[in-house]
Amino acid sequence: MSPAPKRTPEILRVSGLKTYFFTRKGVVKAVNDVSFSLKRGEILGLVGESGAGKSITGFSILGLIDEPGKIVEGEILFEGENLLTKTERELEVIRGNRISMVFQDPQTSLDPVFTIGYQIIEALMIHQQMTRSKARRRAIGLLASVGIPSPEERLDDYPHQFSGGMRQRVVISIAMASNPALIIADEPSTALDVTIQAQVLTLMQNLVREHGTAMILITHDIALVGQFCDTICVMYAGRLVEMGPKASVIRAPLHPYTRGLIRSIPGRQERRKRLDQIPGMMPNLINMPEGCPFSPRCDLGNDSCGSRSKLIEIKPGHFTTCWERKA
Amino acid sequence: MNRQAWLDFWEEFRESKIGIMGAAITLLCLLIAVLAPLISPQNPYDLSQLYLQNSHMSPTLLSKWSYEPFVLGSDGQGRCMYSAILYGLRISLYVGLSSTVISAAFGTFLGLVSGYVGGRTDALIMRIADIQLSFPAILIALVIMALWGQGLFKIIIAISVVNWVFYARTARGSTLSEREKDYVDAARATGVSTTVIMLREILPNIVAPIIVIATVRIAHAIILESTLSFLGLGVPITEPSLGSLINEGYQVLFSGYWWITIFPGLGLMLIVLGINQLGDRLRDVLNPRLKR
Amino acid sequence: MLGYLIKRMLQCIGVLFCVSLVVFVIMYYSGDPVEMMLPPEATEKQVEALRHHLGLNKPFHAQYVSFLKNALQGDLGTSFVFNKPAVGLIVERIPATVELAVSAMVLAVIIGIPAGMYAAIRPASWLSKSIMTGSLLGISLPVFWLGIILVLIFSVILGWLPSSGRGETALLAGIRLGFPTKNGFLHLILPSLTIAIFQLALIIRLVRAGMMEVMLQDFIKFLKAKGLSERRIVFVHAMKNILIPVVTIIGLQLGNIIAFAIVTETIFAWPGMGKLVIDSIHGLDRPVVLAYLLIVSLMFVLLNFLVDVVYTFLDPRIRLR
Repeated sequence: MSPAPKRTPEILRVSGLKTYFFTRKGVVKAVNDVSFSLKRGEILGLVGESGAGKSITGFSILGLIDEPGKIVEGEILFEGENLLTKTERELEVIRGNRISMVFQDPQTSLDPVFTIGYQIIEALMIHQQMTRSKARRRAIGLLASVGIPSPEERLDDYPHQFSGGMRQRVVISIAMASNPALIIADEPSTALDVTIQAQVLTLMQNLVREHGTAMILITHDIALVGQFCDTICVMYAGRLVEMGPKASVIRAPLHPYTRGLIRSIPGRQERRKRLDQIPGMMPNLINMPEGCPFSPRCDLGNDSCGSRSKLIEIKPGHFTTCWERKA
Repeated sequence: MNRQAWLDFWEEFRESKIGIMGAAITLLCLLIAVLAPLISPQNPYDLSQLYLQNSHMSPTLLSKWSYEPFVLGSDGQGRCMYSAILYGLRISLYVGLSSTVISAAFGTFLGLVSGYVGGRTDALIMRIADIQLSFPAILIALVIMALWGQGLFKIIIAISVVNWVFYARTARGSTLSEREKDYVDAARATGVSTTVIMLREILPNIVAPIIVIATVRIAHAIILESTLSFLGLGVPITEPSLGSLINEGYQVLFSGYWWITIFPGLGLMLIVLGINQLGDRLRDVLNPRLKR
Repeated sequence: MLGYLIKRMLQCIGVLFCVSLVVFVIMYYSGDPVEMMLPPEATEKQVEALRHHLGLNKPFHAQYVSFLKNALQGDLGTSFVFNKPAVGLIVERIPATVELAVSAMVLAVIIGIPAGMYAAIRPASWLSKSIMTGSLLGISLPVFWLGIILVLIFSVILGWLPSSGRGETALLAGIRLGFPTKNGFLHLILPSLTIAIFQLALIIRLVRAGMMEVMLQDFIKFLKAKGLSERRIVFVHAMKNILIPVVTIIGLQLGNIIAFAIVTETIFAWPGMGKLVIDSIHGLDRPVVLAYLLIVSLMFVLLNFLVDVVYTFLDPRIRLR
């Protein structure tokens, strides 16, 4: 048995994470020097456009990067231990147990030829060495806790017999099964109907608050993080450009990109007739130049934008890499 | 496909040595097939060039009637095995290619119509295809040849009959997905006739999977021809065929004349291997899904 | 699901009807059997009498109906060569062919599935590469030539295994089988190996392709995120997912094997249905050939139907619709 995890308030610290993909056409720097930390029970929102590197960051934490990707540099401290130095076997003990993940598409997350009961019980028996009957009872309880009606009968159903929202609840129940210290939720509601999205996210929020679980919510929707998260991290083209407490980031964003994201939320358009867009597109991640990745699209700027900058604390707990540093 | 797409394709194709080897072998065999009469020392199917005294000569033994050795031996009729194999490869490729072209054309057309028009035509064509598919190819070809008799033309037709279903099914599947696409709607909206839509708009876009299927079926066709000839139900003995050579050789195998069955077999294996390797590599390169 | 199965069964019957019609048409238009049965000196009257006796002057559909009636009672004509009922001739050779087919398939499955899985999980290892090269070779070799090579190596050169015939047989549950006896078993090896190699290569390629495709699926990543070991992911989850298509293919291939058996039986002088039909074709024994067609069609149709049933049971997505 490994020693009991240290119960410090900080459970995750990512430092200088670099995950690169070595493709035939060049090196894709999907995650390029990302650092952040997470306290016990905190909900952190990792927000950015598609391809910004948010999901890759999530996968890197659990060591789920496949060829041709590789974590080339960095440190991921989970409860004091560096995950990047662990063996595959040690990671298997942590995955689904101390750190769980929820994927985007519930349609494809579950094995179609096994019952959902089997898949929940499998997780329980592997991580907690339960007997089958005890695991079965706990599975029923889990299904109930995520709001699935008649859980006892549903245990023997197959994934295709559930609707999208129900399936995602099942996935969440699997993630919560071993009472993890951290859940990484990668766009958990994106593939669901709009009406179900709020339900699922509220469910997740309640569950993690109830169990004191930390959560990293990865999404492209800044309105969501504004609603459900404690802290917000904004990623662009593989880099973290802003980080801070929700209220501060939403009300007074420091980085032009964040400002653009918030401005494009439909509800905030007030008296405008057209939706505000951020002009241009995210750059090709292969062979990116040094310097602020957002500068081509930015309407501010000074000469320093051509060189890299670190996250600087402008206000307490609120960081940005923008050279302008205007509040 | 534009130039860049071809270059990319070639770049990727080049990476596998097996693919290159397959392409080289296939090209070599094609060359042999075309040039066979020019490069073989003897036309083994011209009776006037055969002397029975030359029969069953082992490789490189001198012929009794000339000072040239039979490089790969001779068979029971005095045929030079080397020449016979060259001619045999020629027939194999001829049958393989022509039956493929015929069944591909026929099958693709039927599949196109079936997929585009839909309704009862589709149901009928697919029903026939399904029934045919529940029987092994060799059986169908065997029955056709058994009842119709031997012959080069007949076997090409028989093999075409066996193979059209594969093309039809693929063509239909692709047509079904292409049919929903915008450019088809656009063409229809401008009043283009159904036939033209099928041939001019959809056909070019479904060619790629057809080619993929063809690479598999050509080898099958070649093996089918040689198998039927081996059984005495394919090309008649008076025409060249690797299959009948192998059969002849097998009958005398226990008398020690091993070269009559081995060398044609090696030739057959070579061409089939070459085509399969080429086809394998082509499929890997053209398959978008496995490229992550 | 029951409705689906009933629909399939009706389809099978329909197919059988089509085949019987095709067979009958061939028979009807392929020459006058009466001419062949009587000596050339027979008078016109005798020919007419025989024709009438055999019912050959009745119209097409009437003849087809009596043909069907006879067929359903098990009478498919008499062999010209053996002068015995064609059905009997074929049926008594079914055990030999089936024994060959089953041994070949068992061999192919036992080696093929593990090999294919290994080639999918560890594609870079030299073993995998040799497996894949081997499988390419396996499907490139014509079955008949492979048989000849095996005979050459194991019978002619090494003299270890017999190359012709079935050897001794023993009665097992009323069926005459070869493998229980040592001699019969030895005779079985080369022919089943010949057929097995092609199937083996096919299964390896299929399993490998299926595994590679399954391993790319999202749920595999989720299983990994759940903390499952690679062994469990591959041998429990991936395996069950590919089992369904693989089982289907195996079932369908059994039909192919019976067809391949024609060639193999010819090479090894194996006394099965295949050899009989080839001999009959060359011997112009048409009733036997047509009876073979009908019986083999029946076998295929039944086989396909069985495969469908198994498939619907295995795939929960179909079973519970």
